[in-house]
Amino acid sequence: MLPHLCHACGFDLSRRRAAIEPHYGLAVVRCTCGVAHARRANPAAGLLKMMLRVDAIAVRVLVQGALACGFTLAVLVVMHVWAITVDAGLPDNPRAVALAAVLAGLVLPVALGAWLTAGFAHLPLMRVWIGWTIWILGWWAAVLLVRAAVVFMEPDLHSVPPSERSLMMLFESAPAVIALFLMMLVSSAGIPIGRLLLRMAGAFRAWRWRLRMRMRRAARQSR
Amino acid sequence: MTGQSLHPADPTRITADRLCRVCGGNLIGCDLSREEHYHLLIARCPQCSAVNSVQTYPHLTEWEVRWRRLIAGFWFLIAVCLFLFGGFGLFAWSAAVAFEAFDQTGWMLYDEFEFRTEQSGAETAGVITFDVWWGERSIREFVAAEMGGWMRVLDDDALSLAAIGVMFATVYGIILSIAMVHRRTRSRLVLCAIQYGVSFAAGVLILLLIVKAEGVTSEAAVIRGLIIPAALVCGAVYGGAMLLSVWLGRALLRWLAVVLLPPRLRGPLAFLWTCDGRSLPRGAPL
Repeated sequence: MLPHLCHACGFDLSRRRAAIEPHYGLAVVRCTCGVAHARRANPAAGLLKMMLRVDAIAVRVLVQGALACGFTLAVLVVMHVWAITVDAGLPDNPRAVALAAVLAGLVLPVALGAWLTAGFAHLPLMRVWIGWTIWILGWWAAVLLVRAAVVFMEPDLHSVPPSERSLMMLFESAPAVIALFLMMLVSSAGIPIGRLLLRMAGAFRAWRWRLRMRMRRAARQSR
Repeated sequence: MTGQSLHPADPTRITADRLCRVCGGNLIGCDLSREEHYHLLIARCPQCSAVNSVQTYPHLTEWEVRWRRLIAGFWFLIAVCLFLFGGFGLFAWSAAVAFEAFDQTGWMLYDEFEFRTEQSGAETAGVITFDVWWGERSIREFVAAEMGGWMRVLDDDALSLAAIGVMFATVYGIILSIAMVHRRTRSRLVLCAIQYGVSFAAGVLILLLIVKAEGVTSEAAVIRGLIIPAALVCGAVYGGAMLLSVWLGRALLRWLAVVLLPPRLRGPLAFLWTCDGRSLPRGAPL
C-alpha cells in the first residue's frame, strides 16, 4: 500500500477509510488534524487506465477505418454498377435485379445512414453528410483518373481513341453521381436507427456502471 | 461560486495532461480553484463539469520510474533509427523503382550497345561512349520503336512500386512529425531536409561506387546513364512527399482525431494540439 501523507501534518492517511463525498463524488479522507484530502488512485492503476484508454482509441480508429473502407467500396461499386446499367440496360434475371435493387437501394443506404449518425455523433449531422458526399466524389474522381491513365497508356485495350474515351467517362459519371445523391437521400432513413443505436449504447454503459457500483458496494459491505 | 480565491503560491491553471476521472476529457488549460468546504485544490471538467481533485502522489514507486525510463529509452532508440535509416531506406526504394522501371529497356539497350560496340570493334566503349551513343537521336528513336512507344519504355510494375513508395514516404513523414514533437515547423522541416539530403547523397555515392566497381562495362554504362537519373527523380519526389507530410502531418492527425474520435477519447492525444501551442478542442458539454 502506498503512503498517503497529510500535507499539513504528515500523518499517513493510507489506512484511513475514505468516504465518498455526496456532493462531488470524490473519495475524501479526513486527517486527524482536520484537513481533508481527496484519495487518488495508485499511479500503477493510473497507468493501466491510460493503457486501456489508448486501447479504446485504437479500437475505435480501427473499427471506424474498417467501416469507412467497407462503405466507401460498397458505394463506389453501386455507383459503377448503376452507370453500367444505365448504359447497357437491365439484365434478364428479374429476381437478381430485385435483390440487387433492395440491397443497393435500401439496405446499404440505410446502414450507411445509421453508421454516419451513430459513428460521428460528436459532429454536426449536416457536416457529416456533406463530408461523406465529398469523400465519395473524391474517390470517384480518383478512380476516373486511374482509368484515364490506363486508357492513355494502353490504347489497344479500347477501340475508342483516348480523347473520346475520357469524354465518354465524364458522361458515364453523370448517372453514377445521381445514384450517389439518391443513396444519400435514402440514407437519411438511417438517422433514427443510428440514434436508437446510440441510446442503446448509452443504456448499456449506464447499466454496466450501475452493476459495477453495486458490486463495489457489496464488496465494501462484506468487508 | 464553486471555490474560493487561491493562495498566491498556488498554481492557477493546469499545464500538463490530466484526464477527468469521470469522462476522460483532458483538463489541460483548466483554471484551478480551492473548494470552499474542504479547501481542496480542484478543477472542473469543461465537458462533464465533474469536480476533479488535483492532488497527486509523489512518484514513490521505483518500478514506475524504471518503466518510464525504459519506455522513454525504447522510444528514443526507435526515433534515432527512424531518423538515421529512414531516409536511406527511401532512397534505396527509389533505386529499386528505377531498376524495375528500366528492367526491359535497360537489358535491350545493354544488348544493343554490346552488339554495336562489337561491330565497331571498340571493345572498351563503356562509360564514356555510352553518353555520346545515348545522345544520338536515332538511338532514342530506336528504343521507342523497339519498346512500342515512349509510354512503354518504363515498366508498368514500376509505377505501382513508385506509388507504394510515395505512401511509405508520406507515412514516414507523419511519423517524423510526431517523433519531433518538441520542434516547431520550420526547424522540423530543415532537420528533415538535411537528414534526407545526407541519405540521398550517401545513396548516390553508393550507386556510383557500384558503377565504378563494375568497371568499364555496358551494364555500368546503362546504370550510369539511365538508372541513376531515374533514381534521383524518384528520390526527389519521395523527398517532397516526405517533407510535405512532415509539414502537414500533425494537422492531418489532428483532423483525423477530431473526425474519428469523440471528445472523451481525445484526452490522451492532447499533445497533438499542445505541441503546436494550440488549445485542445472541447466537445459540447455532456
